[in-house]
Amino acid sequence: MAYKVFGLTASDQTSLLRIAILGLISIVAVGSRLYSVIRFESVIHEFDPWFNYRTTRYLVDNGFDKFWNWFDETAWYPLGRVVGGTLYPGIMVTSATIYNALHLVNIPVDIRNVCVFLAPAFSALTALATYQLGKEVKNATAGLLAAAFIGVAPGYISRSVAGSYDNEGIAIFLLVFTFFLWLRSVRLGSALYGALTAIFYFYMVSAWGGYVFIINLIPLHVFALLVMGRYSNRLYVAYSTFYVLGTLASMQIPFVGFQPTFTSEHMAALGTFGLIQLVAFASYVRTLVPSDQFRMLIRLSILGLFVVGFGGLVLLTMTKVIAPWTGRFYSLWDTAYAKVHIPIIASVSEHQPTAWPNFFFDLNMLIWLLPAGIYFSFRELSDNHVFLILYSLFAAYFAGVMVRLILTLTPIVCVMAGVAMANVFEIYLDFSKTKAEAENMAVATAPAEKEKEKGKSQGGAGEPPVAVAAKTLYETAGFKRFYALFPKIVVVANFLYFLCMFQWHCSWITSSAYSSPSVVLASRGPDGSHHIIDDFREAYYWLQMNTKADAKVLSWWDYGYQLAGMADRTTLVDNNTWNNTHIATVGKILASDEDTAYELARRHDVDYVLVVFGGMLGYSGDDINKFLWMIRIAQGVYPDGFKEEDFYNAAGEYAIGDTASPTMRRSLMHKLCYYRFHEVMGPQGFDRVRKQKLPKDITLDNFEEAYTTENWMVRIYKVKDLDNYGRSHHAVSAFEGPRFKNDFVF
Amino acid sequence: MRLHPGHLLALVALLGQQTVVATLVNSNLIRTVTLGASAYVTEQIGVVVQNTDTHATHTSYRVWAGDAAKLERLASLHVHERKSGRELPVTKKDDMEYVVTLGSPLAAGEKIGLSIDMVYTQMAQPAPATNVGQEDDQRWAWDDQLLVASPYATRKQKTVVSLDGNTNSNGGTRLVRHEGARGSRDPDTGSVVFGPFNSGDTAGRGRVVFVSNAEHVEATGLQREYFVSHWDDTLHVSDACDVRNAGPSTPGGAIDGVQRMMSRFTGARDHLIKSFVVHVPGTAREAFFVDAIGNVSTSAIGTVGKRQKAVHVMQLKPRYPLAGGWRYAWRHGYRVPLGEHLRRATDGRFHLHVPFIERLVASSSSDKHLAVPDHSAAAVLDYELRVTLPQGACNVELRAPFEAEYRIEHAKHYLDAPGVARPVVVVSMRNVPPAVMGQNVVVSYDYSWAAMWLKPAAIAACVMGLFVLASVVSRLQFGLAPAASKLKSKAE
Repeated sequence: MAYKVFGLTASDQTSLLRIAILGLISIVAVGSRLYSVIRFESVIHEFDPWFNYRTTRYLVDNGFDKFWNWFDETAWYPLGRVVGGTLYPGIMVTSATIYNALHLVNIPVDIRNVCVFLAPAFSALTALATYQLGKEVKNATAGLLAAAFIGVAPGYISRSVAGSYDNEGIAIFLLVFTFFLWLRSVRLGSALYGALTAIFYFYMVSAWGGYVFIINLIPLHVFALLVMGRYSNRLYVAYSTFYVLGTLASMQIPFVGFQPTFTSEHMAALGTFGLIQLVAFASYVRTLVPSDQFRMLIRLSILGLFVVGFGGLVLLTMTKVIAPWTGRFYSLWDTAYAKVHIPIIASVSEHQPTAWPNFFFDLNMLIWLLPAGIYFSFRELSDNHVFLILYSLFAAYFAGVMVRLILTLTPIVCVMAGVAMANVFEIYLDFSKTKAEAENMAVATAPAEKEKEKGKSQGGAGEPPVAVAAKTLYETAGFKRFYALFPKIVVVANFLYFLCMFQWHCSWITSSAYSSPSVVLASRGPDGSHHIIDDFREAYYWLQMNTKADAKVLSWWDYGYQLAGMADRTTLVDNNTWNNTHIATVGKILASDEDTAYELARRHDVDYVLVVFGGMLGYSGDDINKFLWMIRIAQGVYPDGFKEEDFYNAAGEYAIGDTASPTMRRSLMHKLCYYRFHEVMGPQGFDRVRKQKLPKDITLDNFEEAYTTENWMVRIYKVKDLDNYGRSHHAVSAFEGPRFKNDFVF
Repeated sequence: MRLHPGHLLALVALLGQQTVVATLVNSNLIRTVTLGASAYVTEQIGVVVQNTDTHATHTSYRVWAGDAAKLERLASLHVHERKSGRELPVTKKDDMEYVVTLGSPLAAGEKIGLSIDMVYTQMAQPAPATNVGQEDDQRWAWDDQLLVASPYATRKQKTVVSLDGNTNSNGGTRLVRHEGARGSRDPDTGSVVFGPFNSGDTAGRGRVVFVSNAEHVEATGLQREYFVSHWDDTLHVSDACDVRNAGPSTPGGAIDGVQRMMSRFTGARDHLIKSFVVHVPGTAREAFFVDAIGNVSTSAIGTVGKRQKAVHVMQLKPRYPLAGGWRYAWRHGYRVPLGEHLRRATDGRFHLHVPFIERLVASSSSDKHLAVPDHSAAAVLDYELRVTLPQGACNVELRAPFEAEYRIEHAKHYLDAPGVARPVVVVSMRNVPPAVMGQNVVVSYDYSWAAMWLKPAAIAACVMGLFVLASVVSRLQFGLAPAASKLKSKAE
């Protein structure tokens, strides 16, 4: 019987409760992503987000047309970059739309704040989308659990904390919502939902390169259903609508262009589209032709099609009409591929294979609920469940080979865990049946007890009274009720404990591992005091304020986007890494001796060289530690210049200072990092990262120190102009002596 | 020296005017230029003016503040009658000339003593422009025409260049050398005297080189914004600053990283501007200090001085120390209770009293303790004051104890209802004179209760409208057939 509360019926109460829970989940999802803002400030994090932020600012300041046609001559000097045609504009357009909408109602919010809080806001939407997905495949309970999981799962938080203004921040919402729409369109056979799927797929294409996952997984789902003999008109309507509209829409993004028609990544979708047409045709023919003839017909057709299709594919790939898979995709099949062939991909830490503890670190108990979810999906196995299983398997594989792809695994893990846990709760939280069963048992045992009592009185006092008492205890109604309830209580209590621990774990991981902006560092003093280390911004802002507006700054590509975003200066290479040769040239300049580097730098119009050095603070992510990758990348393009082995000393160690190999000591990187460093660290000083003694007597003639930050983390050098008298800079230095004299004698 | 078109203009004007006013002469003129630790240079011209006409005439006196380049740097010009000390009204006639109203016409042969006080920025430039060592003395050169330009004939004149006695921890000021016609050093006062020059003498330019190790900072752009919120009962104050260390630049435009590190411990002099100090009210809350790329982590608020003399200051440490020629731009601000600045008069009119500009004091001291340097503030070359009043405020006017032109702009913030904007009072000023610093301006406006309730009413109406719309939409049926769930619930 339903009770009315405040005039609301039971179903209204449930709806209200559901909305309230979803609201709370959204608040928790947003709130747990704000650690970085509270600890540090509202600042854009890391590297790529700085590019997105800069382009968003450009879009807001200059309008869509200029943004679309933007040629950025300050990047990849002297080549430049066609920004409008080489980015996924989804995130910028989203932010600019929010910004303009807020300004329309006169809320003068800063574009930086829109960018910083975009990912947390979208994480709340992701929770809602996951709820819909869970509800679609199981029920509202599963949906709510899945939403609660995705709201706080560190695997997703790692890419969506406030300030992490990257494509993934909105793409995960789009991924989940597109899949939800797809599943609904398959279930209903609705062209409307198919079209909506295509629209959100288009949004996804505009936002993230990971859209390839959708355009392969959905065809795979369709293909699997076809193979399983689950073809239906619903499937035909859903896929045909989605594929046609989605593909046409996706081609409107300049960066994607005609790729859906000729690249290998998109061929599966095209093939499946063709296949489903044939299957649809076949099923139509089946209604017209007798079954024996039909069987023969279908065999011949399949054989013919396979031969023609496969032959055509091979031919087109060989003639390069269909572009081969890109390097990043090869490394998905062979994890050692990149290290051998494309060092620039291997040098990025997020492209490394995932270590096992990472799964537990990012997903905690959800990772062991995933198989349970797969099991429950198999038990029901509708069209939708096939999708879930496929998604789980493929995402799990990809997450295993590339650490950043844990991100795409997280949504399905949350949904599967939601399904698994909803099944558990359905059984173990249903106390109504338990109560009834216990009462029935109690009623059933009552006459027997009476019988026994009767027998006892007849049989005399020979039997031990203890045994009678024990029988009574086991067979009492209270005990049976307890016996029926106990396992349920234990299981539910256990799961509640796990849920609490999960939340605890997620908060802790978010707070300790994923909330550092990396632009600003923090350290704790021995007395517990909090110190902010802000050397990066110190250097970038110095460059912005005190160098010519058209100055060209050379640095390793890691800092390209930050330099453009914070220092507003021209860079030679940046995190876009589209031109390996250019990056290799920068690597060569840094690895060469001073004179060669000077000549190359002048040829590239370089005004300043920026290096990151952690020797004073013990910051291990510095350029000396990245130096081997620079050498490897340079060596790949300029094999005749130098070899990686030359940078190891006689003992085979990668050393710095006086024990380093001569090539290492001569290299520009070594000189720029350690120039005059021993003067501050003293005669016994050592590098706090490498734990090695410092080099002495480093001479630097062609470059001059322009600025060194407070903790020596960033050092900027000016490339000297040619001498007015035509002398070499070595001769000038020998004549004039050092610019700054050291008065400090240790 | 390059000939500036402005110089030509001045010359033409000079020649043109001289023929017209031959009957008024400067019988004696002494110009005193004060150089020193301040970023401003003051010029005081004491002149005895005589009417050589045979009848009473001349109710005004014309002042040329210098050539075009010098006029660009003029911060203030005031004229007093020496005898009575009365300030005489000055009006700007054109780009070159100011006219002083004397009141009654000068009788035939009558003399009047005038004191013309002028303040300039950027009159002392680093010489040499680049120092060899970071710790070397900062040398400055004052360079100007030795004869004071005037539309009247000057019978006798001289220029005295004195050094400000203000000493500071960096060693004060000291004369290095002087160049120019008839220049000599007065052994008693230490001043340099050029002249006297009689009518018809030529003198050319004079130059005085001196040492001042004080911090010379120029604010090339400074904007102060007050944002009045009646609902919040808060006055938001923010300053956007763009400053430059005007001192000699360092070798190669770089600073010595090793010395910078060491001077943290040794406290050695290095002329690097390490912090700025501004006064803040004791009730200031939610202070911030940001620049274009985010929060600047190093800043402090504290009390300096003892008891009655205690003042609250905010210390702002820029991201990097400013060597000579280096720039730094940032924004800082805070909020204070509105009641401290806003009064409502008996006629219902609101009066907002706020400082026109806040002094920005630079410090090159490595001392970690909070302190207010005793030397003068940064020279402000370009200043803008913006006072944003609440939505619907009207009859806005600004009063100041100095000459200030203002204009009213309109802006919208925070869900302001369409059609009604916030008035913004804007005052722009070039070369802000030091006398203005610390003075208050009063912005008066009318603000009705209806205007105050406009925004809540508008927002409430919007929310209500949305609610009604949602309610109507949920009751409309868009499908061709009734939804299955509704049929089911009907059947039940």
